[in-house]
Amino acid sequence: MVTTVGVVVVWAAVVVWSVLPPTPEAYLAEAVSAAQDAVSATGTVLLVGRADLDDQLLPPYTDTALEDAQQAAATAAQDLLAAPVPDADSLVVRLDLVPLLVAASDGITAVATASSEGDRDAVEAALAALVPVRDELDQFVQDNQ
Amino acid sequence: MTDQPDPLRIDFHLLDRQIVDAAGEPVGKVDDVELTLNPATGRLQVTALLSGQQVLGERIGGRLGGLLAGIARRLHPVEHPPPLRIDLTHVASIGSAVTLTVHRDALPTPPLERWLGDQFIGKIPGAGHAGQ
Amino acid sequence: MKRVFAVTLGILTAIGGFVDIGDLVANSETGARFGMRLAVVVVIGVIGICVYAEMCGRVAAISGRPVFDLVRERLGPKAALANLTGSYLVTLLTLAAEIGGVALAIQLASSVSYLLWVPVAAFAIWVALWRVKFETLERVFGLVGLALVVFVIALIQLQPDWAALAGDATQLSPPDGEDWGTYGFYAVSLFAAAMTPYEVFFFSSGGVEEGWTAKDLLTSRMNVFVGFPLGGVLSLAIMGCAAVVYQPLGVQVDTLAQTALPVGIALGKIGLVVVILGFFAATFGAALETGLSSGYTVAQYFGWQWGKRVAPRQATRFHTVVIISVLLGVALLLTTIDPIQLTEYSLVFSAVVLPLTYLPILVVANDRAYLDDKVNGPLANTLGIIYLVIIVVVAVAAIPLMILTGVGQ
Repeated sequence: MVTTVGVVVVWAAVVVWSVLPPTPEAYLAEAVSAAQDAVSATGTVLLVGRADLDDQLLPPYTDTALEDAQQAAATAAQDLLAAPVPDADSLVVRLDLVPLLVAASDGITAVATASSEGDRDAVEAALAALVPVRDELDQFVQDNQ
Repeated sequence: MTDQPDPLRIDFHLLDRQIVDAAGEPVGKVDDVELTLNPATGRLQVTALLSGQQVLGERIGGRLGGLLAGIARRLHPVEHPPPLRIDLTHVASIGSAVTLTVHRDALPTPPLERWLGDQFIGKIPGAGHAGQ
Repeated sequence: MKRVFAVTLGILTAIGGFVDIGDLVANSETGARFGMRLAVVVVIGVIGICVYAEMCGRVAAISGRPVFDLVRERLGPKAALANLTGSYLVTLLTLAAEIGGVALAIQLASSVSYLLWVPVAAFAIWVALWRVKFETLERVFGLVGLALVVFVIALIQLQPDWAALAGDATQLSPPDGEDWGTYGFYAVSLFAAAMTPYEVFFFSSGGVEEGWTAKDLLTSRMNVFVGFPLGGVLSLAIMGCAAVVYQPLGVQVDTLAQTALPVGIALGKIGLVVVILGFFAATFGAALETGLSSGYTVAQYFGWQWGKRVAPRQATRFHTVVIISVLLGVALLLTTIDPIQLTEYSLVFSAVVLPLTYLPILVVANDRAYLDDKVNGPLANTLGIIYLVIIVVVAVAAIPLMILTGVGQ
């Protein structure tokens, strides 16, 4: 009897806690987490792309690594877009960060496409375009940590 | 039997011990013991070792034991399966394991083992050899 | 001469077999986020597994029976059943993670999605368990696992600032940007990766499968005291490579491809081929070990015939448990859970179950009825008890840290 009541109380608490709207702090933490994931994805792509151009890697590996990064960047953007925005400050955060996340996702896709087509110049260009995106995301993480 | 601790304590020397046959191969654990009343002395004495998941579940008792016994019953191809009963006369010695005087083949194969062997494992090619 | 060869072979197999998907994931993730600051945890974990594996090997060699066969008679059927339940579930999780690791490794070589490889890998694992001799399995996958030495070579090739790395390793606090919560969580994961429960189930049952007697005590000890620490060096090399390549860029690791990248950068295509082969051997070998361990734990509790020494027809319940466990592992993976995340969960739950696994070993290794005069000496017991305390602390901290940090966010 006591156990059942205890379980119901705990379960109810979990449900209520997960349904409550996020606090501004929680939203910012989620934004930083998404930005960090994007930094990791873009950073990895820059390393993989450079190594691939230097002929250090094999195509199946490069394809897998770039695909993993694409997925990570896309998920980061999707998760932030779906997160409920608690207040005006959080809205500012969202408006600042979402374009960066989308740019990261687009940039990574550009690298992956160029790589799969074997177009070295396009890969170089895509990597160069990705560097400022990565730097801005990194700056966001540093500023808000 | 040739060699047993003196005095023989059921809970310490017998229960939950591994039963091995004359060749050292595992037969089962002592999940329970069979006690019979000796009319001459008026005391209970151990007459056989019992091995089987159902008697183990019943001995452990509580909800956990009941669960174990229930699963064992359901997995059994036979209604009200009896445990493996090893008469004490077949026991050669009681040390860290209980050693029997007979080989495993002389004992009845546990029904679940035999059923799995016939219906499942035995039908996979290569079941008869121990690797390579 | 033949003895030297046999002992060397054992050591090499132990080194190559030391690393599994848990070590690959934990060491590279930690290296990327914390540099070498958690290296000390790897050292502590390796010493711990050495202390306890030596006890297991001794019990197997002297008594001819694996430790977990003896748990029920030492601790009683109820406590042993609790031990069995926890151990089996964690081993099952680990088995699923290893099968996932095999599939990921094949994906790195083929670029075909790992999900398609999961059933193939599981089938291959089962066929190996069914047909191939125990010693052959151990030798082949242990030796090919030595390919992971490529991480040591890659680290040297990357020409890191060794002084800085060493200095980092002595800093026992989280770096800027990380807090004590995540530091503690990753420490728990690394420790659990070094002391995963199935390693001791396998080491003790494996000793009996190979027919160890008192004469093999030296082999057992050499495997443990030379092989495992050198295996630990491989773990540290994985951590070092991740630290050197990823930490300066603020990149966090969460895929197997990222774990391999430092080797590709340092050593090119050949290095990449070798490291992927190493991943495959390490995870496939570990999948074999966890698959067998799932059968060992259940069969040894109930007293059934177990192991590969006898034909499957003679141990049908053991083999059925193994097959069911592999199928459950495949089912879990086919829910499309990320295999790396699954590995992280398996490490946390391994941490929780550690006391259940290691306490019985200490009890059995002190029992004269099984070991005669080869019971634990004062050194083994002192270390054993110290580690038991560490293990209990880790076990209690694991779940709260997991919840607190959101599995290491």
